[in-house]
This record gives sequence, structure tokens and C-alpha cells, in this order.
Amino acid sequence: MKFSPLVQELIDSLKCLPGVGAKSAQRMAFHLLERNRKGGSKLSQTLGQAMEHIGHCQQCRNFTEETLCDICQSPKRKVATQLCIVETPADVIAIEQTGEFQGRYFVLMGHLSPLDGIGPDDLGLDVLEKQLATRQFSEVILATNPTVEGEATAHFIAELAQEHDVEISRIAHGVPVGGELEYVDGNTLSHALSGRKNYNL
Amino acid sequence: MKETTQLAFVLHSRPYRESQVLVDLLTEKEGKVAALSYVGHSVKSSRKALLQPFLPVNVTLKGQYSLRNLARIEPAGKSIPLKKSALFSAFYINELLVKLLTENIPCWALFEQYQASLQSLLDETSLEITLRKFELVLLDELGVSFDFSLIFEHTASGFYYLPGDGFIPAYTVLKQACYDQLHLQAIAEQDFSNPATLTTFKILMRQVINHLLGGVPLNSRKLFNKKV
Repeated sequence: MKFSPLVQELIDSLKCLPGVGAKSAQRMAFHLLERNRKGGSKLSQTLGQAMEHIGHCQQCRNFTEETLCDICQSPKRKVATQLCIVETPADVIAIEQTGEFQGRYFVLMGHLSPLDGIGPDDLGLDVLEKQLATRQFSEVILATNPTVEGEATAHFIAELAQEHDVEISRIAHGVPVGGELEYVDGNTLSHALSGRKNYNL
Repeated sequence: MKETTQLAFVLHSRPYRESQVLVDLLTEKEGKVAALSYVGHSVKSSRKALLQPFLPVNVTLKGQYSLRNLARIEPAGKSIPLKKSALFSAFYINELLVKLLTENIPCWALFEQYQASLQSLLDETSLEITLRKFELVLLDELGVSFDFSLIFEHTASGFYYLPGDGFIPAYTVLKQACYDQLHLQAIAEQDFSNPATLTTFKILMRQVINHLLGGVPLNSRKLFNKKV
């Protein structure tokens, strides 16, 4: 049996979502059509607007519909001297939730990965350089993921930052809270040991 | 096919569906192998930590098709702590293997050389020599080997390299890189004391590898170009 063209198109369009295959897309389409027309039309409006208006913040490259994102606009953060470099917008949220960091961010939207064809040009490093050149920041915190690619990215950016006379730091690697040493992989554990800190009493 | 446990290195991994990754492995017994592996998103799952490049691992592969299943993976040693240019060089080696090597053909010599190269990359002063030696072994595996005997017989001061034909003396002018005879002789004798020899060697390798790649660009080279 075949669906009418519009229904089929709806199902096909839903398949562009991550983790959604033909069957799930079909279920979603029928659910929206049968039980939740209101939610469906709201989704379509929001999606349309979001796709049209959301771009990148001119300072930190995070997603926003304005020229500067909320964090970059905040008066307190405008004078911040710390810049935290992260891979994805989700990382910004994660760090914001800790409440530990009051500086500004820079979102790379990925990491250096030659095999996936992602080079230095794709990470907006020219924007980053411009920011560093303003001499506003005294410290750059490299918060890329602790993977080999993340390490390479951190190093590449460190080299770039070095020319601008700023302090460069890297987030610590270690054992997760509530974890057990026994189950931590050897790589993490050796990082945790080699990066150990003085115990101040 | 029987299950075997063997030493391997992860060359590259990319996400596939929600909780799987497709990994390219360089294995001791079967050469380059593509495999599918489950990775959990939970904090306790350490698979992702093991699927990092430059970490020797023992893997058990299952399945009879060319895309295998990664049944087990265990660390087989410490991760090689590559930094700076050495790390970028190691990326370059991995990219060469991913793009040039054919899957499922055992290559003992290449695996040995890969291990040795990663170790010697730790010495930052001899990066170039390490890379060139690795490229030679890789080319050998791919069926391209250099015949240097001609260079000692002829008296021409320069030689061209033609894919398929090997070196030809530069009596006529061709529109391509011409290699110095003395440099080529030094390469044949593995004498890399003169920096100019290494430069010639690099240009020669570039020509051969670019030809093999057939126009596909090598992205890891960009990591070096940008540097001041």
C-alpha cells in the first residue's frame, strides 16, 4: 500500500532526524496527524523560524538568533579575562551548569580530524584569533574532549594562542566522582596520576 | 571464520547510529580491518577509551563478512604519548593507511613498522626520517618499490621518476620534479645526514603518494602548513 504524496513526504522528512529510521518516522508522522495536530503545527512553525533565523554568535560561534549570544551580551562577562574553548554547544551548557566558570566561551563546533576532512579552517580559528588579538583575555582554558583528536585540537590552538601572550591551561583528566579506581581504564588512571596535585592541608 | 585474538591499533573511528562506531583497525594477523563496535554512553563504559588511536589493544573479531564485529577489546600496553608535531605526524601515518591500504590483506612487515614508527615518533628530532622510512615500507606493501641501481650506473646529474617506469636519467627536459643524483644515491644508502637529501626524499615521496592517491587530498598535511 502506498501513502498519499504529502504523508510520504512527511515521513521522509522526519527521517533526517538522528536515530530515526523509516519505522519511527512513520510512527511519528501518524502520531502528529492523528493525536497532536496542534503540537505538529507548532513544531513546523518553530522549525521553520529556527532554520531561517538561527545563526552563529559573532564572538563565540554558539547558536543564536541574534548577532551576539546571551553569554557574550552579559555585561559581567563582557569584561571577563578568561576564555574557555569547547567543542560543542552542549559542552557550554554542561560547563554553565556547574556554575564554576564566569568567563566567556568559544565554540569550535567540532575538532580537528584529518580523516573526516575537518581541518583548521572549519573550526573558525580566524574568529578566535581576532578575539585573542583584542588582548582582553589573560587566560585561555582548553576544554576540548580528552580524545586523541581533542588533544590535537588543544595543541593546535595552544600554538595559536601562544603568539598572543596569554596563559594557556588545559582541563584536568581524572577519575569521575563516585567512580571506582578498579574500573577506570588505564589511560585515564595514568593521566590522573601524572597530573596529580599537591594535597594542601 | 574462526575467532582470533590479536594485537591491533585503531586507525580511525566514526559514529554509526546511536550507540555504535565503525572502526578501522590495523591488525597484526589480518591487516587493515573494518569493524563495528558497540559503545555505551554510560560513565562506566570504557570502550570509548579503548577505541582511541595510538593505543595497542588486543581485539577479538567475529563475523565472516568483510565488516566484522568487535567482540572484545582489551588494552595491550600503554598509550603512546605523542605530542605536538609528533601527534600530527602520527595522524598523517593513519591517514595514509586508511586511504591507501587495501582491507583484509595480512601485512606483517607493515604492522611491525607501524609499531616501530609510533615509538620513534616520540623522538621529535627525527620525525622526517621516521615518516620516510614508514612510507617506504608502506609503498613496498602496496607493490611500489624503488630500483636505485640505475642511479649508480648512469652519469646524469638528475633523474625523473615516472610511476610504472621508475627512475629515468634527465637527458631531456620534462615538466616535473627532477631529483639530484647524489641525493638519490644517499637515499639508496639510507644516509640522511644531509638535510637536502631529506627534502629530495620528501618531494619524491610526495610525487609517488599523490599519484597513488589519485587526486584525493591528504588533510593531515594542512595541520603542518598552518604552523609558523
